[in-house]
Amino acid sequence: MTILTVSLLSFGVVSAQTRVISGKITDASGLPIPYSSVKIQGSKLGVSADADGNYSIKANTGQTIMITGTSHNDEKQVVGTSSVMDFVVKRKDASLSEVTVTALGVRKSNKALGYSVATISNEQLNISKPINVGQGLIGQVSGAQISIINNGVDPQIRIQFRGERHINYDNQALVVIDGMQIPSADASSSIAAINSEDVESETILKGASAASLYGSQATNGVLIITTKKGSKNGKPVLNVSQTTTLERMSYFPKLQTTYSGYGGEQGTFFSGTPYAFNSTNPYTGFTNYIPFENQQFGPAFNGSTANGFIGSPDVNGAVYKTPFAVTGTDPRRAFFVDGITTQSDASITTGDSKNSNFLSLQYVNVKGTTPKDVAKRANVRIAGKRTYGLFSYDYTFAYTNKNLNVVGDDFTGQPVYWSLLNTPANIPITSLKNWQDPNSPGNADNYYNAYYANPYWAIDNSRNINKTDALQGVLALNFKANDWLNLTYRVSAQVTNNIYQGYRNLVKFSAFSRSDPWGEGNYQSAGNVPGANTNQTTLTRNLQQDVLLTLHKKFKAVDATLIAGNTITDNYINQQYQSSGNLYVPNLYNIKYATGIPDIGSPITSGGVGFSNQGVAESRLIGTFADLQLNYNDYLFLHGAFRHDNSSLLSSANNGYNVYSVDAAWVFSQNIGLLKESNWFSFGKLRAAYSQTGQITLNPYATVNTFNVSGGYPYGSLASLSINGTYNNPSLTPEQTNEKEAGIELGFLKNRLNVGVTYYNDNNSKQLFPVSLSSSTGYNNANVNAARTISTGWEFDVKANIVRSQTGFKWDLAGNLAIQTTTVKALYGGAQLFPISNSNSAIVGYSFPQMYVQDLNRDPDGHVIVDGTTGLPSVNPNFIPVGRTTPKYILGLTSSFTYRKLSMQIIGDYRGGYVFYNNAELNLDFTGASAHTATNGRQNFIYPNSVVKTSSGKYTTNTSVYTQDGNIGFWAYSPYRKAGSSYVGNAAAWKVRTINLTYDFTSLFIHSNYIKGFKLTLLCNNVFMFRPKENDFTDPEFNASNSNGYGFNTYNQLPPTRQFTALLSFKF
Amino acid sequence: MKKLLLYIGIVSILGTSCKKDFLTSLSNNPNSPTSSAATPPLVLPGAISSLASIVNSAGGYQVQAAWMGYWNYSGGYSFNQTVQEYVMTNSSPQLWDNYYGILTNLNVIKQQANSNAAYSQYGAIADVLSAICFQNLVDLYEDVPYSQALKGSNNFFPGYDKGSDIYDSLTAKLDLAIAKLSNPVAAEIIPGSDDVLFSGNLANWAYFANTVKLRLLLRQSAVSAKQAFIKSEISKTASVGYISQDATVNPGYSTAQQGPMYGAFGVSTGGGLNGNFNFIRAGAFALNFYLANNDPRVSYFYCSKGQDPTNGNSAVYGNYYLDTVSINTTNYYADYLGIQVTQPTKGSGIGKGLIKAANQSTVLMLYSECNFLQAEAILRGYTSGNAETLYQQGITASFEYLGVGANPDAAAQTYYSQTSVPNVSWPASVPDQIQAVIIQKWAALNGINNVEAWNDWRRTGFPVVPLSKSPTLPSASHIPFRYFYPTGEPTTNTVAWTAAGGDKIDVYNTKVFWMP
Repeated sequence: MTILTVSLLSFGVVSAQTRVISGKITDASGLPIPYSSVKIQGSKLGVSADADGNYSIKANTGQTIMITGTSHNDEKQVVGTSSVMDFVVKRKDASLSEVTVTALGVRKSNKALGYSVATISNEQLNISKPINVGQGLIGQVSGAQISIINNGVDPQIRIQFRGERHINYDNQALVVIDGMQIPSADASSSIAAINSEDVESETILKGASAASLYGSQATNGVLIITTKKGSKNGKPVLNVSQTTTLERMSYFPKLQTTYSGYGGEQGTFFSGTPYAFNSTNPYTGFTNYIPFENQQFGPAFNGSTANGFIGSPDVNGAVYKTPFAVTGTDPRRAFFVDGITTQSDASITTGDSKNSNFLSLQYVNVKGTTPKDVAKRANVRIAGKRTYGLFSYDYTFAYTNKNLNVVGDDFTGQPVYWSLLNTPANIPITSLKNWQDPNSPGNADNYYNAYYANPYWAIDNSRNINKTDALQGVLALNFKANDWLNLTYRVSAQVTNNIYQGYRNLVKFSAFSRSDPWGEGNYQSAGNVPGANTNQTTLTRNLQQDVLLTLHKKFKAVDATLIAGNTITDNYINQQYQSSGNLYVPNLYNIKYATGIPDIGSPITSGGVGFSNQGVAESRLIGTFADLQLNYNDYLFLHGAFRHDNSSLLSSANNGYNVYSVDAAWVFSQNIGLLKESNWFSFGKLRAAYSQTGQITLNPYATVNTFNVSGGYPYGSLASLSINGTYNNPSLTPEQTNEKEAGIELGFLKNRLNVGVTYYNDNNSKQLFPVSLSSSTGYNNANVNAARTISTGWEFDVKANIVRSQTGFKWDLAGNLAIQTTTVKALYGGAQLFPISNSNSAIVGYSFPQMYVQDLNRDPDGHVIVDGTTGLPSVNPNFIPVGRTTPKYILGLTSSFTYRKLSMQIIGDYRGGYVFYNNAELNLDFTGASAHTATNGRQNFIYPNSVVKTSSGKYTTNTSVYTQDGNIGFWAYSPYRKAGSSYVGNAAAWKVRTINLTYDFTSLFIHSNYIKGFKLTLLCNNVFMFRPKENDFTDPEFNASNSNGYGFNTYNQLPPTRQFTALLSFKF
Repeated sequence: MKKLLLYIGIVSILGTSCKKDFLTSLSNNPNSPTSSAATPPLVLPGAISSLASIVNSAGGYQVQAAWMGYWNYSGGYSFNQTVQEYVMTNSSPQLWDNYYGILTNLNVIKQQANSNAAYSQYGAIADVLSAICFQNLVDLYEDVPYSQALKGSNNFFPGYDKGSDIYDSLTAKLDLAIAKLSNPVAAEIIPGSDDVLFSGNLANWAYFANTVKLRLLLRQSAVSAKQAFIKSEISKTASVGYISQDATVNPGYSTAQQGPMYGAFGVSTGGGLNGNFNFIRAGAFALNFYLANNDPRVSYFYCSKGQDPTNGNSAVYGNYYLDTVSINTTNYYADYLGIQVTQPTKGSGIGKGLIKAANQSTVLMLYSECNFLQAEAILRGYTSGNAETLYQQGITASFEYLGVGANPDAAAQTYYSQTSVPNVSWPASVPDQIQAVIIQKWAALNGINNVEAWNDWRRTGFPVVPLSKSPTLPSASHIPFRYFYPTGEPTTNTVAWTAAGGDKIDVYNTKVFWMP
């Protein structure tokens, strides 16, 4: 507010002598140029033009009005007699003059780049108003695969460019925030800590060549995030915005609502009791509705209320009755609530040509769709730049505080979502919230389900809490000795402290429920469950120092820039863990009040740093590099980079290695005279690059063999050690990627149509991975440099300004397509297969990663062979590859309309050419919860498209042999469910990710001295998903883990949601 | 902030002044010990206790308990269909990795003993334990890596040795170990509390080694070409003697750190049942054998219906935790394998003779078994002695282990003194005597060493266990003869696995070399 007051006063002083000059700023074709800076030369006065290029400013005759902006050249006019002064500015040629932040923060002209780079502006990033900066990239960059690992209040994002090169280890892009290289283990959390409004731009160095200056971390490409440092011109600008988002389940898995509980019980516990329910299951002929079951293979609901008791009778013999029918909303869906996210932002930008400042504040509060799940984040960032003659410095300090509080597993060890999906459809789950009351059917003593706990108990008694404080600071000193020599010294630090607590209350059961009165083997009969508490603190400290010497000299037609420098990084983690599952005081979560011996976790070993680890891990890297850029007459560019790294991750005998890259760009549109004159052809560039880079994928201390504490030890004073099953190989060297890349960039019709095509071929050799060994060798696995893969791909980017009408209607369309394949060329020794995780494998000759599962036995034409008597298929014991698990095709589309003050942006994408393993469905078939299990009315059926073997090698179409069971015997126990291939399906999906509708109300405030801008945005994220019919469970993008084991969902991922957002933003 | 600047300062100074140490100082793992710290006294306890935990039925051989009629599964659970159908895969049942894991640690001891003579006795102990591991591997898989095994980075693809060759090599190694254990030298370090089997009593180790050797040789009783070899080998070390007590392992189990059997089937520290109690029920074949022969051990191997370790003190039927040998037979219930016992409360669970207390020791070898081994060796003419006495001692030792009644010895005598009860009273003919020895060994090993019962069944055909009643049995329709090689072998050691015929295994028909 002080800033506002000051500017008002200064207005007051000058206004007496001035008059209002107004006008419109357009380009040569008459299209408005929005938001230019309008200043009186020699004064500090300045305003900003609106979205339509209109401005008004107070000025005296004879003063010079200067128009500056990022998209056009500066323009000046002296104030004469007219009060209307329109400006026609010359648009900067986007492709020619745009400057891109490249490796190590070096700014280079776009046209000089010999490799593929993409830049995302703050505006593009914030179309979807993402809470996580990574999400804002989706659909906008070719070759970028941004995956949401899970749903929930704090989703994990995985960022990859150009697919998977590395069989076992990290394939995620290096993340660099304001020059600081974030270790891959911290990348996801560091990105999640950034306020998307603070981001000036994101640069994507897709390939290894572009990233080679990052040496041992370069092979997966780089995401460079540059935050705002304040503006170079103008008065203080205060931006304030408020965002409210409603989140709702959008694609709930298809569950059956026809059949009641039954799990194969053959007992007669119900006969002769007052609760007898003797309707025989018409399909199996031998059983009854089982009111306490989690499996749902019982008789069809008949709507009767009399028979519809659930659970067992309580201690007083009372039974809880509900209609034996499903009415209204499926209660399992009704369990989820509407999530609400509120986001408040404020930032102040100020500065002049020498000094600038930026300050921002943000508070985000996410209430999830699972009751009581909450995530909160507060951000503060202060940044700026000052210049004193030859010296300058810039700085950024950011502090983030995150709090996450989500439900944990219940006392039977199951996640809430699982218990919920296992609830038969007649159970009115939402009316069982009152778990506290010992007489309530929601109480643990009386709960209807004999095997799973009430999810509402877990919501109130089992919580996982994460508290994170993160501080990042970057300070750069710059000394510009003269016009050809510049020296930069930069130090960066990132300190993150994470405190995790996971607790679960104890539960005690009544003597009656423990006695298992119906003999169903209920959970109560296993006895009371003590409480549990886990505490883990993780301190992460990353330090980096860079020294950069830049020499720039022009030799006649050649303009040369040489950068030499040195980077030192130190990454340190200290993690402490304590846990006990034997707490005896209710509602108190402190392991002092536990019986038995607490668990202090495993030492941090070569297995990595993760949950339940204890110890320290520290690594250091020294990199020395040189980078030479030659520019011949502004149309031919040659560039080479060399770097030598020494890393503490490798054994001292072989810890040094070199990486290099060379690239060239030829802007032929500047070179060939005919093209220079062309009206329709505006830009053309050919480029090529070659590089050899490396990646050290090891964790600290992975070259020395170690021992572990033997299982169960120590017993009193008796200790024991046993050898670690991983052979820590001292002769390891970095993985190596040799990349060839070529591309063409074309601009037509004054760059209203831009097309870019890139091809790359990466030979990824000496890959490090733990080969599985026969345990008869003495080890279970060993890290070796062995495997080789080839990654090839095409990337297409098209941008078109389709409509530019004088009426103010604008339509821009951008599309990108990446086609990517990684093929495994060799593994280790004669090995043809390396298992990854989640049924993924690397198989020589196949694309990677590959789903590798068992299939049913089939005839030569692919029909399933069923037994002539049982009608059941059989499992082929041999595993087979059934498809890649990452998309071959990723297509992104962005459409932007603007009509006067209204704008609309739509982002959509398609991912296809891959499969996923619906493991959750496999589990739901077992329990009879899936809609899948009701497809044949639980009747015996003819297995679709099956054949029967008649004689050796002869098969006839099966038209008469029915499966011997169409109920639990088939869905839970038949070979059908045992073959993984039954659950592997097409993962393709079209998605409309974002629709953003913004109306600019700024003109309403044209005469206001306070309000410089006001916009209302309505947006919807995850609008639609179109997926193949066979996938009726979830979003194929979700994955069970953030690893190379892709395309595998489990019941731990929440259903997809859709978010509706309203955003009000003010500019003062 | 000051600290931050300090760190930055340190980094810059280190980075410029002492680059070499800057990196190499981080090569040592500060979190885990390396081989120099892992001395034999530190490695031995874990190797012994994990071996015992596999052999004793909590860890490794539950499948054999089902096959041999000891145990069945409760109908309240749905996951053991495969065992009831004799389904064998290359992922289950499996013990390959467990044994080689223990062998790797025994090899660490052996290497240190080879380079440091002070650890020679540890080396001998490691050889005895290795012999048990390798014998078990051969019994499960026949041909396995042996001479090329455990070489680490020197051989990542070890070839397989013939099972019979491994047996012969183990016999020779046991001889050397017996000699070493029988003649300690002053400079040698004698194990103490780290020896969780015999507390450093080398004489007991020698008896134990000789008993292991006896078992190894007797396993080949059906190999006609080896009869002379068996006889001469037994006589070579007969004077050393055999164990005279149960070989049990206890590193210090307690209420908080329960022994494996109790940890699997007893009462948790929180007061609830440990996970597997409700899951396992009595098998009808063994239960009926005890009931039919007035065998009081029935109430020690099994508890009454509806009883479990948490309510034993308020026992309704009076058999659980009460020292009575009178059996109310109507309170025991079991079904045959393949018929799921209707509900956990309807069948008998595992009894107090097996789940004794949280701190109970794990059995590596029963004294009872040792007596039956000697009895059989005499009956087969490999050595001389009184087989009947050893037979009775075997039964008595079983009663003693279970703690049957106030006077187990008297209870045992009453039991084996019954007249004309087949396989209980001492029969007249040698073949019947051998059968009685094997069946009584089976009756003693219930839930304690199930794999030995299965080994004897494979070798002698006794006892004749009824087939699983599961309606979907494989065509072979008998208990499997061996295991498949584990999942990893075809992919991690393809050449050797193929050479050993790993792709042609038929678990129902491929016999281990010592099977008749």
